[in-house]
Amino acid sequence: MNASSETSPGRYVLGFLGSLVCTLAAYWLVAAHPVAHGTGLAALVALALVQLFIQLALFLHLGERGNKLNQLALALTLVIVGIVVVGSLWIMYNLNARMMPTPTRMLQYTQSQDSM
Amino acid sequence: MTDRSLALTHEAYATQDVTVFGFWLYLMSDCLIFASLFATYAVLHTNTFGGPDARSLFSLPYVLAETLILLTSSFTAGLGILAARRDRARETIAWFAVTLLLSLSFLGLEIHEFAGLVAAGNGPSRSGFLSAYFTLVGTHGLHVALGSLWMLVLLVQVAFRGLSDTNVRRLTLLALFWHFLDIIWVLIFTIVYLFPFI
Repeated sequence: MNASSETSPGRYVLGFLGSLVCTLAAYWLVAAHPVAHGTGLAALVALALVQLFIQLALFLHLGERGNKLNQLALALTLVIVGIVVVGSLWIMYNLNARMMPTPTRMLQYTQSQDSM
Repeated sequence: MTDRSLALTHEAYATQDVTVFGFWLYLMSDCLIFASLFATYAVLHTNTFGGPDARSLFSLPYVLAETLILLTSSFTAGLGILAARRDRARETIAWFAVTLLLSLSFLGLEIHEFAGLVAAGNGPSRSGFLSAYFTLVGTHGLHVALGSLWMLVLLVQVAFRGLSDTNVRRLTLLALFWHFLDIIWVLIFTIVYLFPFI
């Protein structure tokens, strides 16, 4: 990432193999369905996060010394990303839940109340 | 083995660091664009408007091929930048040429996928889900296309002018851009393509 003096391909080979394992493992989870839905979803998220970490550290050299400002910028970006993504989902879920039901739905609801 | 970074003057080093940091800030702002597109997709992905959903549209082996091609291209770009740091022009050109070929095959696969969807009447105007899908994946594809053009220009630059400090700096920024695009694709692969099938 910085004008690093590193010239050996070791980190890139490691990053490539690590990413390859994560990708194939995630694909296997989806293709072979070895675990239940909830567990599988959590495992997919975990594998994606591991791969992001591997690539940030080994391809983008984010862990190296002298990268403090870059790390700070990334941290701030992740905060904004979190606010945008979580906030959007939260607000839109709420709005959807509070939507006025369609006339058919309302009729069904009143009928279900009447019959009780 | 001559180590290029030893040959760089202190001043050139400092300029390079500031430029790289500036480019990093651009990547972070690009990250925010993708964050808003991901948020849009997350909100709209169930709104299929009676049309097909993700499960019935996407082919997993096809997407795996796209993913592996892009991942390999990120790796070869890294090897290219190592060769540039060692001041080996031919090796640099070779690695970046491989990267360019891989990125063009990725683009070919993606365009083929999009064309198939549109031909089957499942274009961006079909439903909220497909609008969000085409915007998110299309924006990434546009980045890859522009990156390929940038790579082509740099290949010509290096071929004619060699590995000057300026060219090494440009290659460094391009490699950063390329690794960043692969990271975004990991998220697209997981969220857009794998989640519906789990």
